[in-house]
This record gives sequence, structure tokens and C-alpha cells, in this order.
Amino acid sequence: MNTSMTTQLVYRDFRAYKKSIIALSLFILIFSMAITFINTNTLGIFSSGIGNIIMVILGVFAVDQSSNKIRVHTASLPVTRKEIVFARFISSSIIVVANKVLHFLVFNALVLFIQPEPIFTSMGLFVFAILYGFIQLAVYFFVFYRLSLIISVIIFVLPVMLWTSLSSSSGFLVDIFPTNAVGMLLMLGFTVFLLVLSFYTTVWSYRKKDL
Amino acid sequence: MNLSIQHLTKTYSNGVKAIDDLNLEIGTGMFGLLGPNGAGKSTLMRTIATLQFPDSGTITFGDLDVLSEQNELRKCLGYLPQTFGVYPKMSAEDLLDYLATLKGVASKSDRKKLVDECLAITNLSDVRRKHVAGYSGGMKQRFGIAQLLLNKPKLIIVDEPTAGLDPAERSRFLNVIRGIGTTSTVIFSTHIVDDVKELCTDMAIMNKGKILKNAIPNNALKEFEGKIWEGVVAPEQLESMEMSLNVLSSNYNQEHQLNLRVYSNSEPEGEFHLTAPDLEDVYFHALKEDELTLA
Repeated sequence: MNTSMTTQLVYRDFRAYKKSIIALSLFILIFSMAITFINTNTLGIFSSGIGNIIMVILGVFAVDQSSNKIRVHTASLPVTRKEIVFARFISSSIIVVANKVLHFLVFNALVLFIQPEPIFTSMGLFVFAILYGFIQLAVYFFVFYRLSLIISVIIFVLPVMLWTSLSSSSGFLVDIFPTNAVGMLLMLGFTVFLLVLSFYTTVWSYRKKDL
Repeated sequence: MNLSIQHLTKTYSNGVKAIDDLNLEIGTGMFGLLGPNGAGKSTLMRTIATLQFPDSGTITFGDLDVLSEQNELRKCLGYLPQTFGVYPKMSAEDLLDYLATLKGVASKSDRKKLVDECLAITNLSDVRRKHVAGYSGGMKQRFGIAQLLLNKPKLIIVDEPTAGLDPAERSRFLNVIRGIGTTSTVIFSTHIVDDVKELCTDMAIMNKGKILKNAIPNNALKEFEGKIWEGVVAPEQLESMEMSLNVLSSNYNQEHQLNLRVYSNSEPEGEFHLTAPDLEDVYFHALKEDELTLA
């Protein structure tokens, strides 16, 4: 795999979609914080906040990926399909991590002023959120390249609704966070496994795809 | 360099056979691929451009096996799809610079020189800083030509580039492409016969995944000399004429009568006079023969 080609493709994503990425990220951030703090239930940060970040990826890249005009031309350039998929994984991962960091910074800043109950700002939640973001990405790429944009939207909207309803019972989310190093490592291993599996199956199906 | 296509077949998952045991030899110069919508032209273009995979057959370009050395072909390929998608908020200059990097031009100064050259060839130098997404259809197509020239391609594929362009833009576009068609192998797919007439030194007519006729346009016209007859008939006579004569085309004139063009070795019955053949006659004749064969 040619690293400079991959870097150029990642650069393209941020150069061409800079405004959409910023606008969607801010929209999701404001929406999440509003929902979380209006209900004064900080556990909402998980359901309406970090769970929604995948929508930035869907909003920015899904149209580009399903637009034949752009993907056909890109695939006719001297880049391999593996490089195209890898670049999209990298761009998406950067957006997910940057958004999660932003959410936690804003969340923690707001907690200082609003002091809602219960206060839930643990590092465990932060790490869990990052890993959960990568799991979402793995599922997104697999579903999008093998099935369709519509199915991937359904897959991400339904769980967000589910999380929202489950997080209203305050004990639920606390119970599922890995609380020790072993649990966290297991989740990390599972996430990495899922990402690698998703990457290779996506490359496999995209290589065989007629554009 | 010659592009050689042998026994190429492609069937889509819905059962449509888009290319059916197709054989074609294309040399340096402008090659026109004519055919109605759904003839399989775009599938053939995309297969040559390594975007689709055939069920069987071979494609070679010079010594290069296109189907197994895809990336090598892409290095010397210039491809302009039917509709060229551009990224939002990127100027022509920036987008060309980015595409030149992907096409392997590493040095910044080389890229700048190349981008300037390509913009000048396509008459886009004045609008180089405007967002390409805001260009008119014709300008976007000229930008498409500019981007395909970046790697000095040996094989150029343009897929129905003049569809939807107004006459002035079409003429401007054809002038640009005429200039680049002398040193490379250019495949120009279209359903507009005039495009081929104005540009191409070699052509093929395609329908239902097969090549119906492969000829040099002037030779094809010579074959039809003394065989094309023109006459004016009332619209209600058309059906009976079509039954008895080989009617190639019929167009209404200002008197609401039909101008009929007929293919015949001898003078047809009625008021017909011999006329000079044009490429449209060759095209319609090939499609008609194919229809009769299938029937």
C-alpha cells in the first residue's frame, strides 16, 4: 500500500469536506449537550451525545461514497481500492476521535457550571466512548459497502433511540462500562478485531465491486 | 499503441448481457464508438478503464494486460466519465494540483507548470480560482479534459462528453479534444453521430453489447454511395413505405410532410432522388440490419 497516496486521499477528505465536517460536528455537539443538560441527566451524554457522532461520518461521507460521479473517477486514478478504503477508515477515525474529545471537553466544562445529578464524568466512560465509536465505524463500513446507505442509516438510528430509552434508567449504563483493566482490555481487543475484520471484508467487497 | 479487445463478455447480476463476445482493435487517433442508449458503450468504457470486471475475455494495451495490471494502466490512462463529479469548495487550480499528486507528479513546481498548461489548453485559465462545482456544464467537461491530461495519458477514454452541452460549448469542447487526439489513443463514446463525423478517424457502431460495424468513416460513406435515396411523403404513407422499402430515417419538414431517407441499390418506386450518404445513414442502416437479424 502506498502511504503517500493514502495521505493524499485523507487530505482530500478534509480539504473538500472541511465545512460539512465542522458544521455537522457542531450541530451534533450542540444538540447532544442540549438534550443532556435539559434533562439534567448526565448519562444522556452517552445516548444522545457520543452515540450520535457516527452521524457526522454518515452525513459527510455517505453521499460522496454513494455518488457514482466521484467514486468512479477516483477509482480510475492510479490508486488501489485498498488505498481508497484505508483512507476513508483513517479520515473517519480522525473525525470520530476529534469529536469525542470535543464532546468530553465541552461536557466537563458544562458540568462545572450546571452541576446536574447524577454527575458521571469518569475516564472509563471516555475510553468506552472512543472504543464504541470505533465499533460503530467497523459496522458502518461493513454495512455500507456490502449493503446500502439506507440500511446503514437504519442501523445507526435505531440503537441511538434504544440507548436513549435505556439511559433513562440511570443504573443501566454504569453496569455495562468495563470497570477494571481486564474488562477494558477485552473491549479494546474486541474493537481492534472488529475494525480489522471490517477493513478486510470491506476491501474484499470493494475490490470486486463494479463501479 | 494499440488497444486490443478479444472475446469480452460482461453480464450484470440482473441478467443483462451488456457486452457479448466483443472483439475490437483500436489504434492511435480518435476512435468513435457510436450506439444508442443501452448499447453497452459505458460498460465497455468502464471495463477498459478498470472500473468493472468482465466475465471473460482479454484487453491489452500495447504490452500491458489491462485486466491483470490495472494500476499500470491507470498510470497512463485519462478517463472522463459521463458526468464528472467534483468536490465542493475546491477551485480548479487546487483540484488539478491535488489530482496531479494522485497521478504521481511529486514535485510542486512540476505540478504548477502542468496545471497551468492544462488550464491553458482547455481555456480555463481565467476561471482557475473559481470553485469547479460552480462551473457551467461545458466548463465542467473542459475541466474534465484538463484533469485527464495531467499524466500525459497514452490512452484516453471519454464517455458521452457532449450530452447535455449547448452548441457553443459542444463546439468548444470538440475543439479541445481534437487537439489531443493526434498522439494518443482516444476512445470517444457517443450517441451523437455528428460528434463522430467531426472528430474521428476510425469508428465502430455498437448495439446490445456487440460491434455491428467497424470502419473508417470515409470508407463507410463510400460503401453507401449511390444507395441513399431521398423523397418527400405524406405522414400517412410512412407505414406502407416502411413495409416496402428500407427506410433509414424520416423527419418532418416545415410543410408537415416527411423527408424520407431510403437505402436501396436501385431507384425505389415513387418520387425519390439519389443523395449523398451521411454517417447517420450508416448508423441507422447498421441498427436496422441488426434488428432484422434478431427478428
